[in-house]
Amino acid sequence: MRVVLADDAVLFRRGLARLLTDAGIEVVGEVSDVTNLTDVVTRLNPDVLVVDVRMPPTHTTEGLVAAVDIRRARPGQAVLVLSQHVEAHYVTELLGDRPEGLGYLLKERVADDVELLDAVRRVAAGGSVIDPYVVSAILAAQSARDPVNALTPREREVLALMAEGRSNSAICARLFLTDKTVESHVRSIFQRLDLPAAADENRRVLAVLAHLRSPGSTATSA
Amino acid sequence: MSLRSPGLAGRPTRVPLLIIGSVLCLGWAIGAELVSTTQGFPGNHLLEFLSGLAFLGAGMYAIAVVPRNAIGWLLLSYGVLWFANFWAIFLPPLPEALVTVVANSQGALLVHVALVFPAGRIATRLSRGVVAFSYLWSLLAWFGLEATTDRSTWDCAHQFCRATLSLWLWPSASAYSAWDMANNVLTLLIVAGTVGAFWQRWRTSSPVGRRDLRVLWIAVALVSLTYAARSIASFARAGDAVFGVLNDLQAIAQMLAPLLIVYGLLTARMASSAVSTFVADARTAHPSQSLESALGRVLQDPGLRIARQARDGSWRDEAGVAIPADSPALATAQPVVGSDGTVHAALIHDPGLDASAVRAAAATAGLILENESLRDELAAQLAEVQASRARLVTAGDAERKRVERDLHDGAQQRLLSLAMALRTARRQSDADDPELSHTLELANAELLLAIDELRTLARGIHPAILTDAGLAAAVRALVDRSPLEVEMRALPADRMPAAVEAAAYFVIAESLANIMKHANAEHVWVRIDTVGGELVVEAGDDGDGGADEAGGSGLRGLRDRVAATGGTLTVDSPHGSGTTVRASFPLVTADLS
Repeated sequence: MRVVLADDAVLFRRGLARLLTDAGIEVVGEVSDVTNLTDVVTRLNPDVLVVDVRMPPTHTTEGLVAAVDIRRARPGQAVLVLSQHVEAHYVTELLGDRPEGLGYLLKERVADDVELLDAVRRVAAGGSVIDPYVVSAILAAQSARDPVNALTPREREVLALMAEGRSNSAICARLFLTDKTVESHVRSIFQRLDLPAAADENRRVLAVLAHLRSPGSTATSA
Repeated sequence: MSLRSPGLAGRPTRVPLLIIGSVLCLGWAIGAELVSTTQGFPGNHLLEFLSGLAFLGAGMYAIAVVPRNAIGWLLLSYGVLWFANFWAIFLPPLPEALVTVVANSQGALLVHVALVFPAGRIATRLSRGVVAFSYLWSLLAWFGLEATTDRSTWDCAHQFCRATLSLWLWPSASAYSAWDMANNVLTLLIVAGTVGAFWQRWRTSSPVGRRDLRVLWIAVALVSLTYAARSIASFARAGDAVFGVLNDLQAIAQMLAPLLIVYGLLTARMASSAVSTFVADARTAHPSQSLESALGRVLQDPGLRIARQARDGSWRDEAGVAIPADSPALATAQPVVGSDGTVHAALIHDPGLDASAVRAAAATAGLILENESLRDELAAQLAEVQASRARLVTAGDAERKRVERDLHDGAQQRLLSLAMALRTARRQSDADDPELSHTLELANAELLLAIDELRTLARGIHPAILTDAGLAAAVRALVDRSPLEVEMRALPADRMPAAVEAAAYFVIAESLANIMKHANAEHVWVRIDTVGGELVVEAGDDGDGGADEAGGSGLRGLRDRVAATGGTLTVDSPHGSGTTVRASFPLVTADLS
């Protein structure tokens, strides 16, 4: 697999490159700003672009904007955005309504190569990834607001994994549960959150995201 | 500043003097008339008495009202001299003759009055010449007449004849007629000169000056006419009967003249003392009107200018038109002085204006200008304080942003590098040492907590999402993470000036934090709305209420922050009825962005 890295923090970028290389992933390009990122990506045609959300010159959302631009220019390009922000706003900005091959991961995931490599591979394969912490942070607040209708801790775990774009079987493996148990959890979650049933993992990510971002989300839980 | 009303009120010390003066005047007049009657002086005694008394009375009254004005004293002198002829018979021959000469020269006093009316000061060179010449000539002419009168030619049995013959130096009928002729010609000349000087004053006077002079026109015309008539009659060698009538007419005219003069004097004076009131009225009625035009209108001097000195020393009027420093108008201008003695401006005015009216106007202008200058100073200071507060808040915001960025790009970046190093260490230790591996796992977990805490800290200092995505997104993120159930009523996505977005964000953040801590609320809402060029943010709850701004709720700091952007913050928190914090920000001041 071929990857291009875009991050202005050299130390971090080198570390990340080494992590990927160690895992047998080929890092074909490294850039420290977004000015000609599209050109680089077009030229190198990587399987995945990994880009930091904060990039020069203003260190705000240059990486995210570049990712969205590249996706517009190359609709099939898989992009994994690394971010410091847990706000759902950035996730929506990135995923839009075509989440295939897009991922939003917190930067500290580099501490766990299994998690990071898994995300890179799934994005490369056309899957959608939302960092589970972004989902659980918002879900935690929601359950604090409305303990009666809140999801059970187990259901929250399942929902976070769903948001990560995992299939039922992947969730089974992760949580050491049987297929049937996971299915019932998923059904319960969809019912409780009033989400439209969706079989496809990427659609499920979108549905969860939509729920997290819907204006009435705080009101409907009442 | 003199705002005294014309009259005796407020000046009790002068009253006894005036009473004594009036009694003396009355005694002087009555006594003289008794002398005149008993000594067999010819003429209409009643008319003489009344017209002399009119001068004395008018003089006394004018002195009482405007003691510093020469006119009252001139009129009084005229009245005193009027009766001096009769009293003179009790004097030895030489002084008697000299008194007669002086007394007969009294006409010059009228010329003087006419040319200094109403201010009491001689205004033009022509006037000065005419006044001086009339005094000089009157004394000379009467001295000549007295000196050349030939007693032997007089057919006179009266005691009265003695009085006019005492200065018997060069008795000669021909010399007398020559003097008489010269006297008549020059009297006509003086009358013409007076009229000329008067005409000159009239032409150079402002409308208000003309209004004052108009009264004098009548008096001067009356008196001049009678004098001229006498001279003409003298030329024509008219009979005694004609002279008798002319004398009566002259007496009547002279009786009216002082009354007219005092009337005119008082009218002019009242106008001047009313200037301040007029100006105040004009300024109240037309606040937008310039002080210059208000004063110009009140003084009826459209050419009036208020000249102010700029820092570079040049003089300019209110319209900004430069006035040369050597301009004669500036030299005669009335200084406009404030209550602390500083000269604010110079009032360039028509020289014909009554000086006391100009002084009153200048005093009023001084107060107004001083007031304006204080107000301008205050406004400038306020603007500076506001600007400085806005700069402080802007600098504070910039500093918060910088700290937030430093935390993300500095500290957090190092922690991430550390996380990667730990990962490598973990991998390397995996196989051989389970205890070390466990320790490294713990260290990793701690590190992740530290990264998360750092993120929370940075967000509290200045949320990146506020800079990145604006107020609505930041508030939504805030609400997403809040354990409160918050109803969001309106969330416009438009971007606003950074200072406004930050202030609005912190108002909502602080309010939600307060609600969580104190309010016991069932229902919480947040509203962000742009209404009529204003951004309005509101955070409300149905909890306990009674929020105390002084009680460390952070609302006071917020109020300052909001005010720095030109906005206002209101807190409505009645006990038991919930709290609504509402901030509105003007969006037109784009310079805050």
